[in-house]
Amino acid sequence: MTVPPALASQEEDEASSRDATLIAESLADPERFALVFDRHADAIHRYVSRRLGPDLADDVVSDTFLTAFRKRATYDLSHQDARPWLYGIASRLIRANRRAETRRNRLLARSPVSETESFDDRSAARVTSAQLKPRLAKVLTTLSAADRDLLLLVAWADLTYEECATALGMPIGTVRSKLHRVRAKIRRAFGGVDPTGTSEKGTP
Amino acid sequence: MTDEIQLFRDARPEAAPYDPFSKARARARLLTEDAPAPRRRFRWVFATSIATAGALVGGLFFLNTTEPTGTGPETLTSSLQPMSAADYLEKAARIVEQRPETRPQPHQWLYEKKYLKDSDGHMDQFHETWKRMDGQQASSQQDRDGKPIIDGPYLGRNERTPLQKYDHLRTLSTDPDKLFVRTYKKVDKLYAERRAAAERLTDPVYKEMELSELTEDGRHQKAFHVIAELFEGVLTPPRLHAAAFRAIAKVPGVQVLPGNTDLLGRPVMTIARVNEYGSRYEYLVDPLTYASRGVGSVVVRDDVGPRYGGASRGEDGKITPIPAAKKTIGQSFYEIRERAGIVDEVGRVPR
Repeated sequence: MTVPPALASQEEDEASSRDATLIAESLADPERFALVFDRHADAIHRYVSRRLGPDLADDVVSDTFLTAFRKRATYDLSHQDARPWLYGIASRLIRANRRAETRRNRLLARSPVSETESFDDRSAARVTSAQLKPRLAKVLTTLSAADRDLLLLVAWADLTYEECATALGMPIGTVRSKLHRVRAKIRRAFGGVDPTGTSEKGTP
Repeated sequence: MTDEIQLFRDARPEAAPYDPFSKARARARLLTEDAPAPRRRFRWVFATSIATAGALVGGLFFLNTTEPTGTGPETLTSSLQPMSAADYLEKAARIVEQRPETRPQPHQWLYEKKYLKDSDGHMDQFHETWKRMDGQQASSQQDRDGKPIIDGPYLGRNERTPLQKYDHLRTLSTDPDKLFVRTYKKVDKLYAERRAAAERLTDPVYKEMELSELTEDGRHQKAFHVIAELFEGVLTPPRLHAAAFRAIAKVPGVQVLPGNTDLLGRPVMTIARVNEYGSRYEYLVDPLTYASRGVGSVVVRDDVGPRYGGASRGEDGKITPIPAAKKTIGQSFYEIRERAGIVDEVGRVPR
């Protein structure tokens, strides 16, 4: 089939801008790596900022990309999307700051629940979540670093199970079983009841 | 029931926007490997070559040159007349400590206009900000009429307001010896943690790469940045400013380049240190008031020892280190503080 020139050029552009392509090219031309930074820095920063707060986030994000840059030759080029790899590096650096993360979560756990939330403005689920925020922050402090990484990569970085497996270097089956255990831990932390209060039993 | 993970997804904390300065520096750091200094805290700079360190350790130089800052290696090689940087910084400290201390008020604004530029052409822009000292409001944009657009609270939950930062700096020792000892204590603690983490790595190549970065020169470079960060910026109490000048003079390899000009053509005094990879990190100060004029880095040597730039994995799974890309002499990144100070209202600029 003949591809119209416009489409062919569009596909070419997309292919040339894939992360794996950029990373491969950056081995010969290091500046190509800056495009990977441009594409993902904001999202990685949002994630790290949520976990550690903005002050530490700047440093951790910078270190994440510098580490990635230095290790780019080992990047598995079969993965077109570099996000899982970058989140994996960020997760390891976040662990190095686990004391700061614990302090932050303890602080959040002590935060009073806002009573000015308008039910009209938000869905019931979001209001429930807002009311649960301090308790959820407290739950985070009780999880192991590995469990916390996995849970938050799914919940806050929006990674799929498969992407989490890549990020954390574990089989996808392990991701599933670990998440199952994390869910159970969360329910136990809420005393075995559904934390949202929409059912009486905590069983899934 | 609602999925437990969805619960966390809905309750994710607010994420602060990525500070444009920090972002620019992180990006520039990639392109020059270890170029820019951090916004709030020093970035680790790792080094390997003992040879260069040997030339720097223990040496304090006063480099008399009129070359513009950041224009290349000539700043280190032309018309140099080695003098004592310690003496020069002592003189500066005596002037700085005479300045009266005025604690900013919560309703006042921290104004900064910075010029960011790198030698590769990726960055060449001005950035102007007003931040209220109590952290309640900030402005970094103007409307069509040139009036500042004011944003709400701009700080993260754990982040200090400018006023809190100032008050924190006031609690630090103004004894240069204590400041120096405390800095190295902090550096050594971080080094020990870093070494322990490297020892835990199972891959021998990565382990070697990490350990090779923990050199004596890197340790001094780190101390240099920790102390310099105390006087980098607007909010430095005078006595601490003086103590930091005296303490930084004790760090091996620190240089003072008094006759430079910055990228805006203004005279500056540069307090600098060349790391063992040939990058010179510079803290620029006004030669009359010694107030901060910005930071930067420039590659001044390309004949330093090899450094790991990463590792490649062969088809057999074997990991082989590869050397870092060679940097070009003159490659630089600067963040020049064109104007800065405390003002009473947003939109105003200091004299």
